[in-house]
Amino acid sequence: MSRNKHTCHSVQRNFAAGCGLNPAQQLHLQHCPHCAQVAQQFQRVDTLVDRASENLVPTGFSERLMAHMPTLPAVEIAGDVPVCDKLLARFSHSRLLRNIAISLGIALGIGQLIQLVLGIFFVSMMAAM
Amino acid sequence: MEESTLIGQAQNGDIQAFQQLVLRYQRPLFRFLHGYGLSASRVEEIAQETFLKAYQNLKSYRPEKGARFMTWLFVIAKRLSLNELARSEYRYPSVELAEAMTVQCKEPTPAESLANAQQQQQVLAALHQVKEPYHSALMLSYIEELSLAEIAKIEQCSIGTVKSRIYRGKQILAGLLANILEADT
Repeated sequence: MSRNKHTCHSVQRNFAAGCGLNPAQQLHLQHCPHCAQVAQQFQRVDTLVDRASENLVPTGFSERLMAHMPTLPAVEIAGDVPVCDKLLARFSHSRLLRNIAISLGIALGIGQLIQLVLGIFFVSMMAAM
Repeated sequence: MEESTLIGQAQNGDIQAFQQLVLRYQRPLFRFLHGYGLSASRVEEIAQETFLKAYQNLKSYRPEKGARFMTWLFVIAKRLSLNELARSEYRYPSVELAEAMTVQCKEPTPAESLANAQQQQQVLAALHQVKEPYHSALMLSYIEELSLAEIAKIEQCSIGTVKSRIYRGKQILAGLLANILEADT
């Protein structure tokens, strides 16, 4: 069978992608030495990858993973969690909200301190008068 | 048990059901992640992060939209892997041979074990050298449970493009593994 570049390409492409070849493509593969060679090479590559990918899951992976689960916020999971709990959980896991709360706390503290200092100042001024 | 049942139970907070999903998909996920040339410990961290993210966002997963849970999981895994690659210096050559050997679970002789580990490292390193967009499509094609249509969904391209990427990826991989392929014949 004479080599047809277009047919060779579509046969090799379909073979590589693992989708079935139509009867004409199967016939082509049987009679085209170039395509047969490429197909054989792809099969050997697949075998090497398969062999290299065996047993890649580390022992105890799922157990280690599940050990992290209870520490996760339940807000996204359980639908019947009260709204206030959801907000509280979301708040405790949001860095932005936490930073805003800390900043507000600090600002409030500084305000209180200024108020106290001014109070003392005015009291001492009044006493001096 | 049916996947949809497990997902439904997990969405209602059943951790045991989610563990069943983890056990079902951990093998293809690790297979996919190892192709990114990250160290074994980093792969495990990303696998953990993938499952944790899936668990946290389980409510947003809608099977009725047509995507299988596995496809959804691989979209998360791919995004995390690419982020990791973009921000870190982890590349396959930095992986110690000893680390590659830890993933061998059979018990061959020490010489066989070393040869197997070396070949495994070489194959995984070659997979990592295949550049995007061929790399992801190629790695996903080795996940038996994924169809071409599902790979196209993950890759956000047409099935024809997926086929071309796998074809080109395999050509590149065959070139990179030429010495092993020649030695095997």
